[in-house]
Amino acid sequence: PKSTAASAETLELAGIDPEQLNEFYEVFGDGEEYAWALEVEEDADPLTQLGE
Amino acid sequence: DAALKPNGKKKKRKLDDVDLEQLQDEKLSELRDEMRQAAIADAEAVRDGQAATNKLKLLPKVRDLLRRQNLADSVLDNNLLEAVRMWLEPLPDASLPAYAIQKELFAILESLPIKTIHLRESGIGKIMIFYQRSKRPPLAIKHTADRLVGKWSRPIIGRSDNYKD
Repeated sequence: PKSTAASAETLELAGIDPEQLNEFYEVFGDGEEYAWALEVEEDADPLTQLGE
Repeated sequence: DAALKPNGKKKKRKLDDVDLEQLQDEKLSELRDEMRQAAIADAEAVRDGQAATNKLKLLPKVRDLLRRQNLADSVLDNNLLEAVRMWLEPLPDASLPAYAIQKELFAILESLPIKTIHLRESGIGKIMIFYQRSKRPPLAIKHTADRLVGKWSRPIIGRSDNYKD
């Protein structure tokens, strides 16, 4: 969620109105949709680094 | 008779255009279903510990139809983007689809005149955020995801294409 949340926060700070913000979330999601795959990736990173 | 002939011809040609459009829609609708089935079959193969090859087998046909500029509007109207989203999703073991699939589909996405309504219907914007955030896609794919998110978000946040920041 960090990236999308950060993008949404940036939009809020930039003065984007709530309706536009809702549409942004509707189209790009809240960052949770594929969080499971990103978590697997993060868990695998230390092993990859050890391998190198 | 002479006066009727041109009208008759015109009417026939118009019907042919409609038929052609219907045929294109049917062809694209069939392709969308094939793409969905291939995505589901690959996910099942991965769950069973087998090689996921269904999408790769269908890729030449997908490339052939989705790259045709004259079909772009029909591709979007028939929500082929939903199937494209399914093809780009991580597999059940969190692995990414083959690079050939990523490369081809990202190029297709860049060439299509995608509007906000298509993004809403397909969920393709959500998978773009995933490709932005994931560390695994090749850099060229990540850069394309950045460009597409920028391009698709402009109409939503009310910025012009010239907006720089």
